Amino acid sequence: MDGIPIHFYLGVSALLFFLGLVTILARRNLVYILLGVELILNAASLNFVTFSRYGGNLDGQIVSIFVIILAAAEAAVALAIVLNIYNVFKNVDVDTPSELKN
Amino acid sequence: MFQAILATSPMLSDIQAFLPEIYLTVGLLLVVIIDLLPGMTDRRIPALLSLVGLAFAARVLWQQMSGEPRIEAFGGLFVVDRFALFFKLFTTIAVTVVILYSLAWKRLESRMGEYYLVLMSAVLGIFVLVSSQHLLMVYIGLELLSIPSYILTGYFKNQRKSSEASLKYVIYGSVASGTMLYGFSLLYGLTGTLRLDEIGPALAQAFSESGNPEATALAFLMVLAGFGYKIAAVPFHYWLPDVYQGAPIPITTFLAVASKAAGFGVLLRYMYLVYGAPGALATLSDVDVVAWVDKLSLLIGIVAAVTMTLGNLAALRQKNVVRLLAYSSIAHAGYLLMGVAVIGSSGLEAVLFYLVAYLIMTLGAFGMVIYLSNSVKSEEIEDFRGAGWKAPIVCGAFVMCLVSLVGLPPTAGFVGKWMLFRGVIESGMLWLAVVAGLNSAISLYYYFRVAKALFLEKSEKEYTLKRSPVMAAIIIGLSVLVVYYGLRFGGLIDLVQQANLFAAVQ
Amino acid sequence: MDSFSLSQFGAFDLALMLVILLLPLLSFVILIFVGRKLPRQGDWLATMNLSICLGLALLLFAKMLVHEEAPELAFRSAAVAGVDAAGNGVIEDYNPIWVDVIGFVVKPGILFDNLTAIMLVVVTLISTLVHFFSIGYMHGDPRYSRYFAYLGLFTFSMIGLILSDNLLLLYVFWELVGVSSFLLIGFWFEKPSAASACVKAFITNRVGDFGFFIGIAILFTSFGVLGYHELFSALSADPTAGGTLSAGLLTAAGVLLFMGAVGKSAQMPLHIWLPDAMEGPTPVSALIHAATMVAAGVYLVGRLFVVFTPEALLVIALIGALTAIFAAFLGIVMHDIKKVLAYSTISQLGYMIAAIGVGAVTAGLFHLMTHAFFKALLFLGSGSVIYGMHHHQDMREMGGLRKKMPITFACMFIATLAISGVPLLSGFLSKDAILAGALFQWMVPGSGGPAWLYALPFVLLLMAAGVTSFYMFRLIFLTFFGETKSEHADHAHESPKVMTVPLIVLAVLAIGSGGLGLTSHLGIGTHWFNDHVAAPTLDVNEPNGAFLNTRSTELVLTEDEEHAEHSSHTIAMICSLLVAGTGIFLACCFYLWRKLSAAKVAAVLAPVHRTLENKYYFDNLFVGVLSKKVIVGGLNRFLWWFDATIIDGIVNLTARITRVLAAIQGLFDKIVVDGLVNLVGLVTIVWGFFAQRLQTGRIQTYLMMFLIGFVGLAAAFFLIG
Repeated sequence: MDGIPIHFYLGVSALLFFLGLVTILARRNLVYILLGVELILNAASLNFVTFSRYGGNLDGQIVSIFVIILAAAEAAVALAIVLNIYNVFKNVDVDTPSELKN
Repeated sequence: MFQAILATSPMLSDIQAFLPEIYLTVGLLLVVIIDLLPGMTDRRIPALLSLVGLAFAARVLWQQMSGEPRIEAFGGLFVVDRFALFFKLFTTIAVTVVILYSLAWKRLESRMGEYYLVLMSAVLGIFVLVSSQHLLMVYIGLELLSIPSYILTGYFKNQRKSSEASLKYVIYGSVASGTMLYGFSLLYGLTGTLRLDEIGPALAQAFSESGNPEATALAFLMVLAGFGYKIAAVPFHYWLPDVYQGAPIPITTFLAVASKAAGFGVLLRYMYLVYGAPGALATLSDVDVVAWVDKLSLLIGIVAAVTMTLGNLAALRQKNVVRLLAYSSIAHAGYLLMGVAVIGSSGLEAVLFYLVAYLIMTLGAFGMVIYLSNSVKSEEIEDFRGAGWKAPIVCGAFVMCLVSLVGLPPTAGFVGKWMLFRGVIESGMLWLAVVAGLNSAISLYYYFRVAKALFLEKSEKEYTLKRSPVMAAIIIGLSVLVVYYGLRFGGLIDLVQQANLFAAVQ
Repeated sequence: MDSFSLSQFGAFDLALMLVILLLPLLSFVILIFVGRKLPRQGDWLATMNLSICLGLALLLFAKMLVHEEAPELAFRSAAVAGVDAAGNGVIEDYNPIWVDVIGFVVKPGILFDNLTAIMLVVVTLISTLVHFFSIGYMHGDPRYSRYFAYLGLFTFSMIGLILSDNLLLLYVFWELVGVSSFLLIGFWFEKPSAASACVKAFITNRVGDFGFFIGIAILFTSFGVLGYHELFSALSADPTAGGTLSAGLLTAAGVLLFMGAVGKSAQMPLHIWLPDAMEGPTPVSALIHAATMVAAGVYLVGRLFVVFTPEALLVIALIGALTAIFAAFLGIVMHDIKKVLAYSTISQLGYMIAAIGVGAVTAGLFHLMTHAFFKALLFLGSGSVIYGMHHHQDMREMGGLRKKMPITFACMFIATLAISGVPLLSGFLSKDAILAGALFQWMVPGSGGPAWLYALPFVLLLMAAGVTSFYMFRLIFLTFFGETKSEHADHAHESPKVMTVPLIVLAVLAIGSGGLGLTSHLGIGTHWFNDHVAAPTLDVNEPNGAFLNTRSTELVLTEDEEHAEHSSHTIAMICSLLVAGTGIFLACCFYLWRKLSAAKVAAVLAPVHRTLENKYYFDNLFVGVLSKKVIVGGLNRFLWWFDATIIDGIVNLTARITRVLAAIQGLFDKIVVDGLVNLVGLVTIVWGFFAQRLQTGRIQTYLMMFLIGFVGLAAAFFLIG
């Protein structure tokens, strides 16, 4: 593990972040959009763990555990909201709920 | 007695610092339990319990206010200083009013236990957020505030507007907080620590040693995206009008006042500890660093200018009063950001003062909306026509709040704006003060439009305005405060100076 | 690596255990991915794998019987073998490190001793029989292969739970058991009742696991170790763990650990999930509720016996005894044949828990084994009845099935005799041993509380014994005797061989598994189970170990106590025979000879009856607490979503790859082409009326603006100056 330069990890994390953004911006299905959000959070987690590994203290790893927990909480609420959207609008297309606008 | 015991042990004194939060937690647990008891159908009971929890918390906050100026608890994760206490008391007052509004607003009827439970969780999030001195705590606090906010926004789960608003909120919020977290991770990578008070000097050191301004800037921007979403600064504000319009109005009030103030609280502490504190970037005299910090300041200034302009321009053509107030709240975030852009003592004091003014006048404005929409069953401005003459005193009080929102004397809004202007002019950003002045002029137009509808236009349909003495008393009381602080602002300035993070160091 | 030998345990046995552990996992993985494509949807694969496991487990079991010294801690996660002086094969040459956080190291390990050997046989045997039985019972189910996949996952978790040598690994498998049982109970998730039952089981178990985890955390923070062996030696070396552990804290840790068992083994007040879990397929009920999952809690309490202080043990004994009696009463009023068995299971689990609580660890584990056989038999028998009745479960519609389903009847009757404690059958021996243990505890009370509390377990358990025989015979009489009471009963038929053969095998075991122990009652030789599974003990010399339970610190009895122990066996046997006989007699009066009317008694005891029918109102209480609407409803939908999206998604993986490629192309279109179009439009819009038009109401537009704004800010930052 120590043989791998830190840039590789940061690169993967940046890629994850980017993929998350693309998912969020491009997918129609709300569930996939939520998955994109998870990707972003995982990118940050990966960064934390990487820096923790290379920086010499454990703080980052602890943060990543908290991030996982909070992501789960957030996903639970988000999924509930998406389910509710499905109940109300009868589909999970991201553009269907767009009645609130100027 | 209880507190005396707590004070004896170092671990327990941490808990003592945490007592307000504990009281809140107990309060919300009681709400859960009471809600589960059969026969507890009265919608006022959970509200009452929440208020009791807040009262207990407020009592401890008050004691802490006269105690030690600064307590660090849980190994520095959590800090109780005047600044945090200011925001906690602020939140306590705001949420008390929000609860009263919730009681008064007729459309909130079912599942009240859940409602107050989630609301109090959000309050707990604010308390944690404004006291946090550690990136992880900031993130936890922010999520603890955000997640209940998502739920509350979608509280009317069968209504299309409410559901849609919560969806937009949760997706936008998740992306923003994810971006912020990524920024945090970069900060951690740059400095190797998560404690905000250590990040400042470490960042300065890293900056001067390896000279990595790009990464530092990227981290700053990503974090700004997270905080910017919370306070709704352009370009991170898009969620706000839709969410405000879709959410139950008391929740909109909560978001506009408490949540936004909490966002400013944590942003200010972050800006102070990471950039403004002794040893941090803004205090160094290195030429490169000074240039970098000036750029930072300028960037926030630009954001402030764009935010207030866009908010005011968009508010011009709104027909729905909640949406109008939403854009107005974006504009006010822009005004407040002026104080942040200064990264200095005067700016911080100005922001705190303006937040108090903003609290009072915004509560008054939303109170009026609730008061009227109870009778009119609508939030369109045209439906409010002629209402002013049906309840002249209350509506007059409301107009006082609008005057303050514009920033005219003799109101607290004027004093606050004046302090903000002074701050930016002192730090050499005259152009920002000019933009803000122009914006105030624009805002006069749309606030006036509301007042005009109330008093100068005739109602098309006949209806009687339902009397609500409590709501009337609250609105009138708030307008009296607006004027009082507009005339006798000395006491408030004292308070703000006590809460000044920069001053606490000296 | 040495070769297999009967006289010693070596690395070869470790390989066997790994095979036993991994084969079910293998069948899970294969079936979940390609199960539908295999001939017969792969049921033969799962069944074959399990049969191999069973064979290997029996081999190890035979070796254990032959082996004179009980192998204590035979293996420690090793690939290279070594045998210590006592021939116990402690192997620690190679330990893969599993978790390494700042010097705290967890190594995955296998613990193999006699208890493990017996548990392995029980689990693999029941699981194999359930596999066979399911081939008949689940025939034609649309998700046939997935059912067997889940069975594989469950068996894997259960075997892992038994084999693990430390608390962390145990906890991992413990949760896996929870997950797989969730999947199995909710297998027919289209049925709302099944969907809510699995959620209920899952949530209720979480409540217990919460305590369990805190208990583990307390022990770990005190001793810094997680392995059983290390934990016990640390406990005996210094019970106060350098002053960090007090009697109260250890009691708390014990009670919290026990909470896990309360959840898994369905003890009061967390028993509510088990009756509902009957919504799963009946073979699953046999697997989960007879032999394996619910036994996990008992196994845990038995394994960790030495950790419990006298106070904690008293709590355990009382909860167990209360569960035994209360659940038994509920068995009387149920009409659904599986519900009766469900409450019967809860009651019997209470027996086992109480047994360990009163210090009769061996008896409790013995009952765990015998109960596994006869309860699995009862469940599978009821499955056979339900199958014959075309999936009708109400006993009021049955009757007279004795002639139509003779094999099922004979087997179930044997099981009923066993559970009622009729002499010469396995249940008699184990139950009797428990009662003797409880009686002994009464005569020689422990130090955990007032003496009268120590009398309660015996009294309650004895009552429960009577009630048990009553409701079990009620079940038999209502189902198999009298007139047929519905059309389905008229057309009932015996089940196919693939279902009856497992019944016969289990019936033999229900008679014989304890049979070897008869010898000790006759005064010849000793009890085989007693010989091979001794209560775990601690060797504590320090005075500050006073708060540990004496059952595990000193096994030397005074003369009086020895006398008490002898007499307790005799008295307990007589008492249990008397109450069991009374119970059977009453059941005959009510349901066979119809001398007494159950309805009249129910009318006289109306309030009691109502309380029983409402299950002591426990469910009402919990439904309120769990807030049915929010949590249960949400999880239900989540389950739907999980099954429809994730599982099906994995299954259809191959088909998806093409679609993913198409999607990537679509992404390109979307981002680059649409993006350009949007960009052009954007410029017009911004210059048109930028403040308002951007608020399109579409989230993705907002987020695009978020991104553009962010990039714009960054560009501004880097361009200025």
